[in-house]
Amino acid sequence: MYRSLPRDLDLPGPPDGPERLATMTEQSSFFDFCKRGAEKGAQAAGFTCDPSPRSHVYRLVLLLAVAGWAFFWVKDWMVPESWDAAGWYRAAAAEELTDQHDTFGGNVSCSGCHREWMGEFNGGGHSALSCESCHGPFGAHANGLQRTAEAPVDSSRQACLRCHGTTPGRNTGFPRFNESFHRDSLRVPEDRSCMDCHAPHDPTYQTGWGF
Amino acid sequence: MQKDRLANQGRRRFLVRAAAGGAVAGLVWNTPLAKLLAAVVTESEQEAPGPAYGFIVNIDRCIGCGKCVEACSIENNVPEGYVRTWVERYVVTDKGVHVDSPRGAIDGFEGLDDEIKRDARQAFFVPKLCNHCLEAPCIQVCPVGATFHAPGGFVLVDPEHCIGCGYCIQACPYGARFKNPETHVADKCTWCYHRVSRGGLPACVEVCPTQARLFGDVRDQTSDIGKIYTYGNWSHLKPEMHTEGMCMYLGLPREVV
Repeated sequence: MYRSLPRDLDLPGPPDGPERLATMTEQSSFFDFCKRGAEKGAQAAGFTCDPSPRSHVYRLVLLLAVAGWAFFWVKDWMVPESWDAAGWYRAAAAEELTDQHDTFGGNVSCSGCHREWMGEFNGGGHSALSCESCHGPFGAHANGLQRTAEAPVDSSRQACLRCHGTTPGRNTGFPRFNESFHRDSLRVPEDRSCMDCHAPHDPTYQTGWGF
Repeated sequence: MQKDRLANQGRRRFLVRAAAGGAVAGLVWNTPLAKLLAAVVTESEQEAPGPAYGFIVNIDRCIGCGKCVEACSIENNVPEGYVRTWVERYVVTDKGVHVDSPRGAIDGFEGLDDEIKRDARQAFFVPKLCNHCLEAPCIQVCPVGATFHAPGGFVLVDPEHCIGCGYCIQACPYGARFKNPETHVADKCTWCYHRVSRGGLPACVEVCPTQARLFGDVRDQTSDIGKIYTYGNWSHLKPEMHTEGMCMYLGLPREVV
């Protein structure tokens, strides 16, 4: 319809009024339906509304503007809040990951209170060890979240042999359990715990030949 | 008359369209576009360089007790059957290299086959963990930006953002990642980021009885790790991958892969 619009406005334009409506009823597209509605509304409001020769351009521009706004709105909604605050990641994640509790307190957390043990331990051959290597994790206890009555230790041979057993790869300079010496020379029964003779905090000191 | 009417209509049309255009422009300007432009225009603030953490594994000191693996799994609630750090036992014989790591050595190592034991020329333990690479392949391949470099050099996984696609697990040359069967997202060693953020040490470093594992700021020249990093004869695992890992090995035999 707009293509047929003459360039010179003095020339008779497209039909007005009922004639125009008559021509429009022949159209059936959705846009025309909307346009007709707008036309009727304009007539009811007391003015007529001639279609602009560039309305197809305006429509496109409006469509692009709405699409652009929608794109940025959706992007804003989808992208997490602290994204790209420190890099191409959710900066809040680094903060959230620090919320995890310490399960192991470390020797520093033990030495503050348990001085009676630390003295014996620090001078001994196991002073490089972590208390929690043998006593189990006590981070919650050290941070005041949990009261603990005792710190049990696995006194089986296997617990000691985990470090002191002889296996390929274990450095020969490292003190390793000499099985034949204990069994044949010292006649230590198989079921005796290492801790019966070796004080675990200072294993170089032997508590006596208790067998 | 015709011309006046047209002129009036033109004015009205102009005003209506100007108002509509202004409204659209306002809606666009109000929202993220402004932020986007502001971000481009504003210069990011430069901060003083913080600590650059590194991890040193001393092969000669490791006795293969597996306490590190056990501590790591307890500290980080690692699901049964998975490990974030593990220890491999290498036994070099004339016939070949025997490598084993029963359940990641979470319970240490048992005895070896007598034949391998007899033929052994050299044997050693190699603790392994995430290398926290400076040029991390896992960060490159992550399609959603869920794995990232936190300040200090930690390579971390954002469990809220990870979609569990598993690309990073395939990309890691060190096999340090796995898919957590409980959370269904990528999981790996964090160098105990939560502990270090409070001034502590990673759990594996804490419990290691022989100080085979060292952790700290490599820029701190007063610390052991700073001196080793600067002057030590350390090497990387798979240096040909050019991942620039911040996990360095002392005394790494050439058989290690």
